[in-house]
Amino acid sequence: MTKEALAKAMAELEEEQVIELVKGLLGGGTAPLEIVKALQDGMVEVGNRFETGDYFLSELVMAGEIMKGAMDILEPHLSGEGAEHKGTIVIGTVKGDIHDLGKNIVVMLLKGAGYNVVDLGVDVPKEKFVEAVKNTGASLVGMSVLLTSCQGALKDTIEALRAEGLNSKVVIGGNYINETVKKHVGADYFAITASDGLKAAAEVFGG
Amino acid sequence: MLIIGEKLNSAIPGVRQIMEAKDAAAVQDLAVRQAAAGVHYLDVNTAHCGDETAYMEWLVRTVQEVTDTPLCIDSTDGSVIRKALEVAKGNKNKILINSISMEKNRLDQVLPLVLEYQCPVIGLTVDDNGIPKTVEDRISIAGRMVDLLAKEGYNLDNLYIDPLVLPLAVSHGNALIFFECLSEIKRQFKVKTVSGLSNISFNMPKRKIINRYFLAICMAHGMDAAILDPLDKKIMTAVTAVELLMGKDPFGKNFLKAYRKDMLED
Repeated sequence: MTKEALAKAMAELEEEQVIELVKGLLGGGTAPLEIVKALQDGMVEVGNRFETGDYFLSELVMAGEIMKGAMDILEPHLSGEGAEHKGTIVIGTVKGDIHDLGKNIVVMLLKGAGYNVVDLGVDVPKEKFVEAVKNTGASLVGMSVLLTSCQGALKDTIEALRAEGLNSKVVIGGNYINETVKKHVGADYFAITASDGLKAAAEVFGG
Repeated sequence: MLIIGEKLNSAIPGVRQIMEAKDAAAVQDLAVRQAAAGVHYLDVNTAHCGDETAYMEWLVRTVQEVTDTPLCIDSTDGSVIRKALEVAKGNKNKILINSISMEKNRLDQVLPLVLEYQCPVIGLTVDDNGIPKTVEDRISIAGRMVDLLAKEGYNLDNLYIDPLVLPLAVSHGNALIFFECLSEIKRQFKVKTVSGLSNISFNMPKRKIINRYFLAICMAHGMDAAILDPLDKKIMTAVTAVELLMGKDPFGKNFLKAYRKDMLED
């Protein structure tokens, strides 16, 4: 019964095995945070397989469910250790756009990788982004967009953040986003795939 | 969905030949390949062989040499079913009996065996007046059967009602009648339903197309089990795809598993 086996079971989406291993490791005295780390390693592998097309979206969703089940077991044991995470990220689909598939994938992977993700949902007005960043002190803000017509909303939201003196890094994500769009709206990073988003987070929070 | 593999049936001329020749290897090959395709039951029928009882005994023993997949004893003759139950290995209450009906002769012969061994059973909606033409008459026979079995203390979870599909070639409304029977039997009696697929397309060209869509619509009407050819990749693909569509395959796990094992054919 090892952490490696747990990471592998997570990557293979073997739900029963994951739960069994989490319980076993806990019972055997492994630190809960190390168990979480192993689960995250497995989730990272799930993300990789999704990126390469080996896994399908429904399997990514299943991975999220398995992770949730495992965390339900671990949570009571984690409270004593202060829910540690790698950093806080505020994320949402910008005003005027209600697409959330891409955003949800990134949220799932970011949570899996150990970030504290505050998901504002879709059609999020700039004021809500500003408020959330103020309240959480998030060092990274993710803005998702699918409609090209919502480019203005990206620019407005980033300007609103800056106007309030908030200098959190901003990653914009969407299928049509590129370097030109990034420069035009004043973002710090852009992401086309979910793993681009994870890379941006890793740069901001140092892995 | 519960799949009953139909290949070991003496009504199929080629299969009857290998049975009458007592070609154990050929019979076992059909058994093993169906089991590998994922069937839950293997139908065994020797009604078209010379001595049904003797061939049934041989067939049961021969098949059970190579697979533990439970058998579905397919006969109208009580003495044949009794013999099969006697010689079968393993848990006899796992054996599916195919079938009883409300015909007096079948009830007298087969029902005592069902009760003695507490086997799952397929119940046909037919009585001594023949196969009814209307939905109402079939439901009424199903109701009488459910009442009778309940009175005998039988576990109704083990009952699979077959509302007996008649060919479209005879009347174009026959499939619709059947779908309605599936829904109504489930709604009124909360018992399971089952069907074979080939009757519907009798004397039509390209029968497999009709059978496949028939299966899909039956499943959409809540059918629990089907007697089919599990070596037909397209029909098995239909089963997997419809289960996904009907919300019975969380996260598409089974669909994707079948995909990765290269079992899906479009």
